[in-house]
Amino acid sequence: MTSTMGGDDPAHDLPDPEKDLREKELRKEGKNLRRLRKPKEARKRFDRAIEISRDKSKTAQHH
Amino acid sequence: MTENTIRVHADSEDAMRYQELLDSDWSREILEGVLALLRKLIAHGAKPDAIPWQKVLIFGPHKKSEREFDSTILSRLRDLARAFEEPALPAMPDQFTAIRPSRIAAQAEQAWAYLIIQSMARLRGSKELFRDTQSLLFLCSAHYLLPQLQNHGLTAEHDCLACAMYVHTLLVWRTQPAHLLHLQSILMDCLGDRQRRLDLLNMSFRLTAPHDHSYLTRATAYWSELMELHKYEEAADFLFLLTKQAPDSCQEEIQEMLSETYVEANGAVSR
Repeated sequence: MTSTMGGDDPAHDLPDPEKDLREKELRKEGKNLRRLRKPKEARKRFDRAIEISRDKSKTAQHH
Repeated sequence: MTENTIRVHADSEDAMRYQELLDSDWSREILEGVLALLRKLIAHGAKPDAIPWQKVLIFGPHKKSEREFDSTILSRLRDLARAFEEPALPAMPDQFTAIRPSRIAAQAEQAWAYLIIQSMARLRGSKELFRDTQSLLFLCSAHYLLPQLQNHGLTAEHDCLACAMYVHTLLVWRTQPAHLLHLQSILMDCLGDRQRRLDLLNMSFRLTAPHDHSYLTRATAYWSELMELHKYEEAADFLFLLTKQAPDSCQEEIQEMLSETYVEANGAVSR
């Protein structure tokens, strides 16, 4: 998971199944918080989910 | 190797630390963790004795701010903020608010130095892990550090950090435009410009392919923003479009969002 993949960079992205799970949880939390009228907290969950799910530098070709 | 080159060194332990930080809520501890990881990544490559501005990169978490912030970094940031003008951004301050040394001001200075480091030095080595860690620094700055500066009345430091965050998006994420626009949408939220945030979220989503991992999450963030702004018709139109474009695995969540949109829209009409 974190072995060196070419260049000087160790692979650092989360494995896909873990990403899927975490982003789904965070989307759900975000939607619940929006319903509870806590928009700031909801936005924070969506921002976290996006940061987890986006292809990281160097690993873009793996998805 | 030129004098202005910093070698970044990362090993598998650093990658694992990055993953822990990635899956954490953004708080003071996580900000300190992110700054500590950045310091570790450049620990052997920085030359603070020879290059004075690099002293800002290496001080530890208990350091309080100096009487004056480093002028070399501020001068570069001023030039860049002027070149990349954005109407929603506050102006770069001429003077700073802090009258006493403080940890929060020192953290802000270290954060803006790391966010624009690519304009100060050429990075070599493990640049990819470094810039993804910078992305976490941006997020901690948005969700923790900027509000803290505001709460402490450090308006000039707040504005300086906001300018560095904007410059960072353009300096570092030009090759990943969806991420660049998403980071800018977060900054616009911090600055209270909701319409600009909405537009940037929309653009970020449109640059994301349906097979991309972040597709449904970006769509959900945009839909949620439309709902918050009571733009129910736009939200429903967006979801209809999504039902046609999104992979099968996303359809169940899209249908749930559609139902929620109708319920809230009807509630808004009957009120």
